[in-house]
Amino acid sequence: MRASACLLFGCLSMLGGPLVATRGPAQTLTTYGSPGLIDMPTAEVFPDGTLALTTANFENTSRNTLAFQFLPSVYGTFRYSFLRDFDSGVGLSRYDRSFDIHFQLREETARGPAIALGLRDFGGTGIYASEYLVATKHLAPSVSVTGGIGWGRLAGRGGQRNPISVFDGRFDTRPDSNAGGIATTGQLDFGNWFRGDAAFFGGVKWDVNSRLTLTAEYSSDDYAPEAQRGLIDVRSPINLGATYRFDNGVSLGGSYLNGSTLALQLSYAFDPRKPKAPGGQGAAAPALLPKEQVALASWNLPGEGTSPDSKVTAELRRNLKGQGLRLIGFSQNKHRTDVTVENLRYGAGAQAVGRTARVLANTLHPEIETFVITLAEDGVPITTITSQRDDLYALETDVDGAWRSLARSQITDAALSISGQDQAAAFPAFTYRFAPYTQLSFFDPNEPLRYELGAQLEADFQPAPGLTFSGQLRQPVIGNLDNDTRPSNSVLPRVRSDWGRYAADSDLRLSHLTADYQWRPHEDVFARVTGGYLEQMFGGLSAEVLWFPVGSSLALGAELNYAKQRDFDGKLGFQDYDVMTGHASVYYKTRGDYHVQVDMGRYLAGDWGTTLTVDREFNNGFKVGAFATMTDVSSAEFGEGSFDKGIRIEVPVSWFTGKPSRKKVTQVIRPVLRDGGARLNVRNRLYETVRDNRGRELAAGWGRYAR
Amino acid sequence: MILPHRAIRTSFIASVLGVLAACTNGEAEVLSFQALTSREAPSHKAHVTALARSGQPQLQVSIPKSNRGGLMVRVTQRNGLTTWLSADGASLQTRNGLLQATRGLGAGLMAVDDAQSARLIHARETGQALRFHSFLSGNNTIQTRSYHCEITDRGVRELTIGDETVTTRLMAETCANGEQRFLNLYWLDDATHQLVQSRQWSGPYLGNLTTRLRRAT
Repeated sequence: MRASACLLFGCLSMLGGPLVATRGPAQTLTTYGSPGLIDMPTAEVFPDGTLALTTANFENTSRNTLAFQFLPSVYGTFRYSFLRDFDSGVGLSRYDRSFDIHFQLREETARGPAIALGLRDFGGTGIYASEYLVATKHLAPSVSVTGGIGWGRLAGRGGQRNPISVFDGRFDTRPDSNAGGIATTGQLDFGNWFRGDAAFFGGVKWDVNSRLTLTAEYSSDDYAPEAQRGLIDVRSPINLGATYRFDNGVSLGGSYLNGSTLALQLSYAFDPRKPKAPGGQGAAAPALLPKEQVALASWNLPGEGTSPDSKVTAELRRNLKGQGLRLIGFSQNKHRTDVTVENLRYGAGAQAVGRTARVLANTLHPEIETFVITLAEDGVPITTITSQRDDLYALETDVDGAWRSLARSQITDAALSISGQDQAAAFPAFTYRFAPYTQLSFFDPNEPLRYELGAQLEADFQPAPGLTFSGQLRQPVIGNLDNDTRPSNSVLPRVRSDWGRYAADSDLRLSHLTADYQWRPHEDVFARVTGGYLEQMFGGLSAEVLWFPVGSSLALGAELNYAKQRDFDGKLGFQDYDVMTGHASVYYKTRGDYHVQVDMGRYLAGDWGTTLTVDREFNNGFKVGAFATMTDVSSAEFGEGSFDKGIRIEVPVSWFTGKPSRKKVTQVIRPVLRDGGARLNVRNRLYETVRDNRGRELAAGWGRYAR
Repeated sequence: MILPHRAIRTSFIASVLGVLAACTNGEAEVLSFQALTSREAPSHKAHVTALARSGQPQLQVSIPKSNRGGLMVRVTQRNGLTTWLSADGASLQTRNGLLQATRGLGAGLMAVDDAQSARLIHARETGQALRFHSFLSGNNTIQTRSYHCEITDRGVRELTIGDETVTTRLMAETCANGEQRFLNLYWLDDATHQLVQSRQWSGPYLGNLTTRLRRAT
């Protein structure tokens, strides 16, 4: 698991202060971290796009939930629960991962209630497996009532004959969701949904004021699995709760559960569209100078000795560097200049373009009227933006300036080679970076959070545009990633499940050492070849080609790799296992905030299959997504989890800090990391870097052009 | 010297993130620990200090909401638009003293169309005006808001700036739309007609800015 990030829950929950909390109807969350009463759901949803983190704790139980409202009427949750001594027969506590999904079928109106259908723990080990149909209606602005019918765990108390069995007698019985044992966890239990007895539940919610809410419910969950094991004492079907909300999105809740125990919970809900500082705190762009002043600048005057051209280039390089832009191509004729830059600083490509244009206007002779700015990555030209110098002056104080400057710019595919590359003399280039790193692994039953902290040294050498030699060394300092005592029980080639050994058997390790060449073979086409030690577990050769027209929402890619498994010690040796692996990929950005990626091909263990990834992408770069991979490996061969799946969250560092940066913090959360459906981790796949500079992303970020 | 950021929180996050504490000769993955924790970027500080020494006019700015303030120095004037720079690289733009834009202060007031208000205020006339502000949102979109404003004359005020006493006329502008309302105050020098002191609303994030012109010495 290549997890380099902060501890997700820790980081996000620290941000309480400056964030504007998600407003909207007063929200109370259940112990399951979803909108509702105490244990029982209501038909409510979060405001669209909300992320909510909840930890709820009571007798022998801890539920930790990440909930995301990924469509206006649909939210999903991922939960990691701890049930002390639940499997005491074998002397173990239970760590349980579960997913929920909730569909609001009808919004509340003046005349009728909101109605929702939900599935709790629809794919896990089944402790919380239940389904519900629920309605919620406000009787007064501050009072709402909820009534619903539940199946599965939500029919534990007062279960009656399932009304659906009118249509099909099959629904009278609910098969044991755990019948197949651990091997079948992770399979969708749709054979069980809405089957067996059904029971009623309901409750009342009263918003005493804008901060305090009181709840009371009749619960149809009798906690039978816990009660049978003597973990929870159940004396009453009535639960009572109180929630107090702070302005920063944090809420604190307490409840009296089952007539016997107190539960405490803490939640933090926020809107990813509202980062700490809306406009960011990075320095302003250089103020536009009057043209006369630019014309009289020393580098624009005929000089003595050195040619004015080289003086201009030096000045331009210096001024761009001050804005976090690297000049790699520069040419000018009478009225037009061609400038190619690499954006090292700004999350939005449009901001890099805007800054470049300002630097050009403040540096180049006023006779130059047309700015042709090309954005490049690793020396490969990607997209060209052509604009007029005079528009920059004219729109500087225009309230509609962002839209007008976009409308007056032409965004086109870049020329296949860099204009004036010799003049810029940007190559060869050498960069290094020394920094701490973190690596995390979740959900090991012995150690739910594994981590490693250490130091890493990274260096890149670029002798020519597109050609990069890159290496990274890591030295772990502290952590418990390396004391994993559970050897892999995988029956597949152990392409990922030996991750513990990679940590345990290595000390100073070579994370990667690669030679990489990227180029533009054709208009709209990008290509890459990478060879060497590609990642911690594999080395080999990787080749990729990407078709991505400049203004397109659709891109197509293909990648072919030969990969050979590296030694556990992180040094230069290889093991015997090798494989040809590769994928054909389709990338599609929908009209709204959604992004879909489909990868079809052969995975590291030699299995064939498809990965579907769906992300909600906010315009500021905050992404929340989920992925699942189905391959020809059977769920029995795959082992625990049945198939590879997970959720991922990507947050631009500038979202936390307010300072400009292209850096992102990415965290993948997989219930379990196994060998089926595993992909090679090639560091510099083309799509992401190209996309940041392609037409749709540029246009979407154009609000930052004048930032 | 000016308007420091929320450095404490930032450095706290940085220390927890850990990954950010770095040194590099390039700018790829740009944030160094130093840049995160230090309040003033050295390059801007040197620039601003040099401008101040060269006798450029200065603007005393404070943000009551966040209890911050400092001096900004005039860097350029172009077409009546004046740009003021702080030592940490934040900028304000004004036209005849009226706020036109902010950058680098956390919120982005991208542009203002206050032509109607400006005409009345500088003519010391009362009346109605419409003004438009465009803001950069946290989701990188531009949000434009319009406001109905009422400009009134609050009479003569004596101000003490430095050692001199300046006779000014105080003009007030009350603006509102469905969701926001604000009051801007402008003290105009009777002799020079220059705006010497003001309180101006910059948007929902930062709230009011107060400015006081320090004349070039």
